[in-house]
Amino acid sequence: MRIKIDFAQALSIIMLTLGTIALTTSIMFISTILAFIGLGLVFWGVILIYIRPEEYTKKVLLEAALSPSLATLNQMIQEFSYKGDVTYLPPKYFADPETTKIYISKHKDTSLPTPEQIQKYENQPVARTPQGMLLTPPGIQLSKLLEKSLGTTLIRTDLKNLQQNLPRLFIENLEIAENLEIRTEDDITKSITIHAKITKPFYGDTFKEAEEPSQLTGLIGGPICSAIACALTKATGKPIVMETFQPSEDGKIIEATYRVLETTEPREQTEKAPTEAAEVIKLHPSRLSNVAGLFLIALGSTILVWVGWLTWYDITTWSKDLILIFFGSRTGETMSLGIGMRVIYYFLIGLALLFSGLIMLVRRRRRKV
Amino acid sequence: MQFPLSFWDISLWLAVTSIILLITSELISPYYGKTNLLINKKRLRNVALTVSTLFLITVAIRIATIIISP
Repeated sequence: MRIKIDFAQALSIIMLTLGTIALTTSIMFISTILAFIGLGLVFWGVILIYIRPEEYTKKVLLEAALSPSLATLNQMIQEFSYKGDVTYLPPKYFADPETTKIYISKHKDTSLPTPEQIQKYENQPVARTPQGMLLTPPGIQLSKLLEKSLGTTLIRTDLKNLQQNLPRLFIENLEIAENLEIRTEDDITKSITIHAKITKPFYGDTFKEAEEPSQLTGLIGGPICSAIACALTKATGKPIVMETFQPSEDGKIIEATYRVLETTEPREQTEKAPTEAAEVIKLHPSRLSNVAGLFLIALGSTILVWVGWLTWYDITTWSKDLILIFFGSRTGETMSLGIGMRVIYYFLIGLALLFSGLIMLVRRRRRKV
Repeated sequence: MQFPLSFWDISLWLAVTSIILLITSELISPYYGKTNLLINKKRLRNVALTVSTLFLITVAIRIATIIISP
């Protein structure tokens, strides 16, 4: 039986072993250089094991496995001769609050069915109703992965939050695109149009949305565009139509346009989201600024308290005046740090830290309001 | 038998390591289009931040020692 050796793993084990030997030897012979070498080898050995990636699949394999499913979907729609509109339905149409499906009407310009009508066919993967058909979107699993990375469900967010967080999820968390820009546009008829620009998407070469049935109004989209549509319909709570899909000549940039339907409700409701949800979504960046702000305040306050105590001590014990305490030379004392530090410098540093922390906290609160 | 590195040696080692890790973590960030590197970038960034924090703690201890000592 042939044993497959993982190069990175083997290297890590060798580094760990050599590092441990070097550390042990350094302790036995009290050698600083050996200790540094050993510490470095052990540390990098552990790091190499720790930062190893999760399981990866070759892109060609993924393309070969996934392409036929979208082609089958398109063929099926053509077979059924549906000529209507393609709409991503929000979870309010279904009994399961996490579900999103595509509704394709039989004829053009027909109104959407009611949630009660839809719910009868909800549990079927491809359900044919008298007026149209229901499909599971190709990007549904990807949108669930986005929710998992976000740590909350997209229903509990809003368009503004999605606009802020989706690029981070695409670029940093899942690394499925090099860049993602989402821009919203309101027109006079009060309908919201959302433009998404995806740079170097992972599935870029795999799915050609242009191959979709041409008789339909609106598009189903490949996994990425479909996942964005699912996320949008969940976040807005309204049906979404993917209107355009335009890949660049080299296929590295994809631009898609989505339109939010059913905008008879006031705009406040469209953009309103539970405060609790907004908190959850914003946790990552704002919690960091909160901690940083509190840290600065604590540090600044500590320095100011120390300066206050020193001033009090100098006045009561040595009967010094304030000018002498703050501006007098401290050469020879430990607080000068050998660089001529005076009490006034500590006082100014303390004030600067305190105000920086306060400004950070106030700005965060204003943003929240 | 004793460990040959003092607290300040460890501090120096942490400083060098944290600089290497922070620069590496920044250079391979997906924000610069490096999406084809097969390493867990999030974990690398966390390690870089942890090592940097440890170094800053040693610096804080150093400053506190200088100020408090008579």
